[in-house]
Amino acid sequence: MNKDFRDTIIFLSPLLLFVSLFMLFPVLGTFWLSLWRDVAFLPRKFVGLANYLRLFKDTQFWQSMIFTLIFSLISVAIEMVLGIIVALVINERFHLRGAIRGISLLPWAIPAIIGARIWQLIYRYDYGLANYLLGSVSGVSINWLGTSGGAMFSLILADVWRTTPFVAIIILAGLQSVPEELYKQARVDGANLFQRFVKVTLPSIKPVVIVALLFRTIDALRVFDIIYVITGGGPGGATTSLSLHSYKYFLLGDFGYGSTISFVLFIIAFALALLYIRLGRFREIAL
Amino acid sequence: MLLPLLWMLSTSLKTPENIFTFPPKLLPIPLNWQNYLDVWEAVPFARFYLNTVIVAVSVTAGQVATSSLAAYAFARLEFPGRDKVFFAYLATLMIPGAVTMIPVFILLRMIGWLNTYKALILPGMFSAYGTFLLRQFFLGIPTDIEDAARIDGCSAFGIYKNIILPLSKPALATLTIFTFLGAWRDFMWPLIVIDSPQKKTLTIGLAMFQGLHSTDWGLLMAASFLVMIPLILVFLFNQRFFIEGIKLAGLKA
Repeated sequence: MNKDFRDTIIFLSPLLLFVSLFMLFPVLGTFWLSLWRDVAFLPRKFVGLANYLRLFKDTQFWQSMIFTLIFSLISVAIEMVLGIIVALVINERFHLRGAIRGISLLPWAIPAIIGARIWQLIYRYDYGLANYLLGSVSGVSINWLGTSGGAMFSLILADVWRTTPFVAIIILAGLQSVPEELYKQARVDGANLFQRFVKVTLPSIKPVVIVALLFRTIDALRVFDIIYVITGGGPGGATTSLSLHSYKYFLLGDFGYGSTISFVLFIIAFALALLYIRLGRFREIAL
Repeated sequence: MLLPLLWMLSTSLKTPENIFTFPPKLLPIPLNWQNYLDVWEAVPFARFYLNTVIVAVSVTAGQVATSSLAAYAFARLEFPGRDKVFFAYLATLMIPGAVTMIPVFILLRMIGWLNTYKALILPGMFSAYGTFLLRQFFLGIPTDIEDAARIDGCSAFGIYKNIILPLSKPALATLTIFTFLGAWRDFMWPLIVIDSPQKKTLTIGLAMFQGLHSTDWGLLMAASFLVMIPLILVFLFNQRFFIEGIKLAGLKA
């Protein structure tokens, strides 16, 4: 046997074992399960694409789909813009930069579920900090989690708070790799701050922006933790994400239909990823 | 950025009657340390801590091992379809965890592994991100030392262990920290495979502070703060590794 081939087997087999068991087969398994009626207390039955037809009649599924897309679109857009701004600020040289950097990136280090509990406390209608602060300025109090718009807003705010630092970390790494000479040259050419940002910074950090966008989009599409804690998917299912919708069928023991929803999520994530990769020429970055 | 965290700290130090008042009391006066003592009594919190440490350390060790071995193969060994396999693997980054959840659950139930450490650890033993990060770093290491070692009869595994790994400490440190934080924070997976209090990790154990009818918020916030302390320390002392690590991954401009 060829020596390099033998080495390849040795080096790759641990990874291949785990990836096959816990990624490859499960994805295929999800598709396979989605073709069955697999519910508690009833015999399993092959139903072909019937579960997919059921999606069309499942109004909660469409509500979840729309919620997940809108939530992802808005929160990722805000996080990207804020993340770039935060990264630009903490990339400057100033007093106590290390400390400020650490503090501003901190929310990302804590578990989503804990961040969510804090926000839940802040959003409380009766004794919450949000209504207190708002009330002392304007005299109104808002039922943050009681209306679908309020709940959506509250979740986006909590998500932006927690994940903007993640975007900022990635962008910061990109900023630090921009050669100083480019800025010097632009300054010599008389470019002002804004022009330098548009002509030098932005094109240089485009690859990291795409990477951050990719990671954040995939992550936002599967949002689960903060919704599970803050709204539980309510009011009236208005903030039930696709992951949570699928989880609810999992809890009911309806594995067939739960898998169908999961597989749709997979298709959406994959299509978006392909789109970004085309946009960003990710292959070139990685090679 | 800090306001919610300070609010949490403040709530955790309040006496029960001071938590829900209007207007809210911004500062916890009188100071009440009792919550931080009660946490350990109210639920098996020490047990959750131990479980989380066991799981996070094992997942981290496993990911670093599988990722570094595979990264070496993708960076240094010649085999047909190497780059295609690598990119196909990288594409699994795009697969949300919820997609694989049900089949993995069924598999673990079938072999009787629900409510075990194995169920918490094994599915997390690989990472496309980690393999990517280390491969990029390995590609940047000059090959002349290895060439010399190979002439001296050193095996591929010897090169990996004695040359590549020691030279890759910064990248390995980055991956270790990333993975450790991720494993400590994980919520959805433990929620699915664990319901025995003996095997609960901290993130799902926190739910035990929420009663059916009421939640002791002071206690919950104190417990949450204790869950976060290791993360805050690891993060604040190592934040440069994150930034370095991403730069190392070749995502530079």
